[in-house]
Amino acid sequence: MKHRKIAVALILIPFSLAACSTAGGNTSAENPNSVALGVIAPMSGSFAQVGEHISDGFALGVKHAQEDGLAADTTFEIEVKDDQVDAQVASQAARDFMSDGTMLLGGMLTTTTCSAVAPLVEQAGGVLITSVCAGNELSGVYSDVTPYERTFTVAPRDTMVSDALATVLAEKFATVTDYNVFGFDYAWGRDTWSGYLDGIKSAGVDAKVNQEFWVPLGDASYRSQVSALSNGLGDKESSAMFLSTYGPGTTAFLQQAEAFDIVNRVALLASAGGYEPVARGLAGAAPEMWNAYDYAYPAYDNEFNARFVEDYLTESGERPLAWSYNGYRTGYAFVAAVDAAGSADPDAVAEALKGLEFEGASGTLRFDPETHQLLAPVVISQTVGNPDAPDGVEYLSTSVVPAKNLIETH
Amino acid sequence: MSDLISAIISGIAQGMPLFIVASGLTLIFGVLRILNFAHGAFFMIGAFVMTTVLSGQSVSMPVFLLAALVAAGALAATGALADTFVFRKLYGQHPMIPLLASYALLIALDGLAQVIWGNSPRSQASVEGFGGSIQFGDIRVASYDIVLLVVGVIIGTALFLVLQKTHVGKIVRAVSSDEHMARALGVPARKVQVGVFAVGAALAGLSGALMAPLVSIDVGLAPTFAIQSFAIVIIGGLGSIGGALVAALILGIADSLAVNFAPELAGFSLYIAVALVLLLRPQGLAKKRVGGH
Amino acid sequence: MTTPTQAVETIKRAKRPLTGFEAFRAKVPPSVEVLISCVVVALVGGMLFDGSMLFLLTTAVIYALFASATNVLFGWTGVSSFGQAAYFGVGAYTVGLTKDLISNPILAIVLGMASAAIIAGVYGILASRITGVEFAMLTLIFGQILWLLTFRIPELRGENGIPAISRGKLLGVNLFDDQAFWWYVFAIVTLAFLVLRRIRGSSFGAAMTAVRDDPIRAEALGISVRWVRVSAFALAGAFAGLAGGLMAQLQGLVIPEMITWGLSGEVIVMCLIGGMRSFWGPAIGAVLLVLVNYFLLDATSAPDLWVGLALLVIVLVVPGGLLSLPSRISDAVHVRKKEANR
Repeated sequence: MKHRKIAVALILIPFSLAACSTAGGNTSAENPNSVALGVIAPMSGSFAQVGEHISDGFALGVKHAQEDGLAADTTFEIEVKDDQVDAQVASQAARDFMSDGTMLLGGMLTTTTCSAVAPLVEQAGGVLITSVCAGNELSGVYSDVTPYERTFTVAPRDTMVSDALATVLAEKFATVTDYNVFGFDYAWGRDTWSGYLDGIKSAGVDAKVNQEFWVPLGDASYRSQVSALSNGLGDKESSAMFLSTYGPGTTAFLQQAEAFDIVNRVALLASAGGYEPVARGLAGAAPEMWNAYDYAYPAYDNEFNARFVEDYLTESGERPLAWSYNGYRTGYAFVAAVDAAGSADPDAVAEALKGLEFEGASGTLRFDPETHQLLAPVVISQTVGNPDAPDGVEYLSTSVVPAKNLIETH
Repeated sequence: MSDLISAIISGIAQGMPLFIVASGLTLIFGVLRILNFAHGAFFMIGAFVMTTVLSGQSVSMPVFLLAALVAAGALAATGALADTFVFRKLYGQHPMIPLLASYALLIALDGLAQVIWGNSPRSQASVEGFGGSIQFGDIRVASYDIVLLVVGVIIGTALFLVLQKTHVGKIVRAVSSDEHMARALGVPARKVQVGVFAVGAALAGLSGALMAPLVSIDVGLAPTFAIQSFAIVIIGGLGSIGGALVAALILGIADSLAVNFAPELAGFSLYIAVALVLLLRPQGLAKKRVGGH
Repeated sequence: MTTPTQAVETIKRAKRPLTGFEAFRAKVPPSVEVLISCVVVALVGGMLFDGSMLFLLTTAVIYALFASATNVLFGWTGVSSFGQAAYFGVGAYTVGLTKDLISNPILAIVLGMASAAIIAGVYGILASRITGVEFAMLTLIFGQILWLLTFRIPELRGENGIPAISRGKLLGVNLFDDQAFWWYVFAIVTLAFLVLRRIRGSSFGAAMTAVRDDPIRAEALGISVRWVRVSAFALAGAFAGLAGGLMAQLQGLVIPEMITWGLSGEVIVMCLIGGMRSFWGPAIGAVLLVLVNYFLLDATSAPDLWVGLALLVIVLVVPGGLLSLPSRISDAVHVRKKEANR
């Protein structure tokens, strides 16, 4: 009978691990003054860099909020769970948190993961502040009222970002009318481009699409597209190159386009979304790029931002990215909400978040009480690679487009 | 017409790197009958080693090639270790089992790469003097693509010649077609297996090193060329080097034709091409296979 | 009582006289074994766990069904398919697309199962000329095409997927409750396993084994190898679709990740670590993989490394899969006994 026992034992081990973890389920309030905060972010796999920044930013946000006098008597315990940018794993993480009594959750990168977790938080009576997710439908910005009572969004919405880029570039590059587009063939890629195009057109630019190339997500070999692009480029002064890609796709395109000198044959190279990590990865060789996203560290010249950037650099070893700042605002917001509510009770915190005001790098930030969107500006940066600049990225200019210019606020 | 020629040429430029990437997989599959899922991880590690050796800087061609050989060497060692400690016990079992082992190896190497090289993406600068393009009449070709073309031809020819025309090649083919018989005849089958796996891994690492200036080098790199590589190996026909080369060029040209003339099909071109080849010629494109059958 | 044929088969197949547990097992009708195993696991799970752990186990059970469905091809018929996630996805997306039209959850998943079966059947027939690894490649291609289509066809909503899929009510019970859903899943999965077990023991099951072990001889004996393979493909697709539908109801969301080749690869791994030659192997493998992934995820900073190493250890120690362990150990014990008695 030995053989059966061994097989059975091997199979029972995971079950007993499972039983142990539920039996020993800790409550979040071992110390009555301690509040548990849960962060869900990609900590492994290809997006691990994002998760690292979100969670580092979150912890710093909590710390600075308390330094600023908010909820100073409370001890906050932060736990991070990996979601691997997978909706199933994120749902499981959220359920695990809430089963354990951690009802205040933050983080996440993609619209899909946020959409998976928001209804769970709603049902369980928790509170969710999404850090980087930018899907239009996650907050009430484009539908006037928030879709989820218990979810609040920190990052500007996708359309806000492309609108901001269009606003600034329509002005600076009014004579650039021939757009060449390269992007990932999925909703964000397509919508970012079409939002931008509509934006510059309504600002009076007589823009038209010269060439467009869309590749499936995950592809990295663009030789055919780059050659065709190169052959079809028009006059430099009126030509632009718009990249509707992210991360590895943007890098691969720039690397492969180098042979055909595409970036120097256009007057404008533009993109939306998290581009700075790409520029840093190119180690001083990045081309001149106009980009719009949630934050850039040189955009704000004040003490609050300086403290954030310096402390982040000290604790994490690199300058913050937009993801770091989004995580930071999420942590800060939770502390501010707990302070305003006078307790960590999820109902009270959710109530306090509506219309909550707290400090940010751009000044006072506020959660719109109807749409649950944090009203914060979009940053337009003009960067170029420079091996002598910090992180190899030199900021030629930054400008800030306030939220009220982009959406209706309440 | 010149549009068509230009498209075909850029298709060849698209396909040749795919052949280089798939060459290691072809060798291992042809000789050892293992579909090595860890191939993508070997590729990624080759690229990472390249950036470590060169610090991502632009260097001259000889230095670049030397660094690429270092990467290949590192992967040869990795491949030999993997074969010795993992696969040696699994030959001769049900063919799916080495597949599982290679999958496990893939995941483990992905994790290891994250531990060693961290989460932030890196890049490798282009080779000095080869970062531009050359004009041939109406057609512009990237200089580095010409380098890859030459390298691809060298690799293909070398593999073919070694396997078909040399004594070592004969031994390898003998082990591939009938291991027991080969052993009975005194062929050191174990050494051949380790050797082939090491060379296959080295080729994968070499391809990663060579592709490094063209992609973002991060922990998500492993699956990037996986489907193309498997497609090339399978439609090329059970380990045939010539077949793999033709397959790679077909895929590259199909992609280029789609991009230039049928953009809505652009993402699907790989799958359509593979499906067509398999339905029209199920045994693959090969005439001569590594194992001789 | 087991049919004489099955008992005779088991005894014939055994290498030595059956004793103890094995003898007991040979006497139990397979359907009863399935029923009792499922009921016991359902009871144990439902009583010991709740909340998020129950959610995890429900996920594992659904994958167990998917893995068993996939093993119909790999382990039973000897057909390799690298694109089973396509049928899982078809089942899931069917449930997602009909979420506003169908309120009965069982009707939804049955529809998903039927769509998957039909698509699998049609594809199986079209590709039936091709065999071996080339066929496996074609199945991968098909899966990838479906994946790409989720981004191209607007109704499928690309990477954001179809959200807000309600589980609905069954017999007045709201399936949103974790416990209720656990029992619902088990009811469906038990039925599915019963059907699969019956097929395994039937003459069709024997035909599949014949096709796996020696297709030329099978053809000579009058078995249409082609039709057995196509039927197996449709069967595997059908139950993959059923699993996909259940997953859509569990998660409340369908996303393109349910159709990726990564999932197709993972389900094959589940079959392999559990053991392709046994009925329960893939199910055990699925549960094990889900749990290993879960426990290593937050325990370490590089979970991939440890999961990979864990799988390597399993592969090296038990290459035939975990469920080949008992017979290997008992073989070894028996050999030692024999030598001791000489």
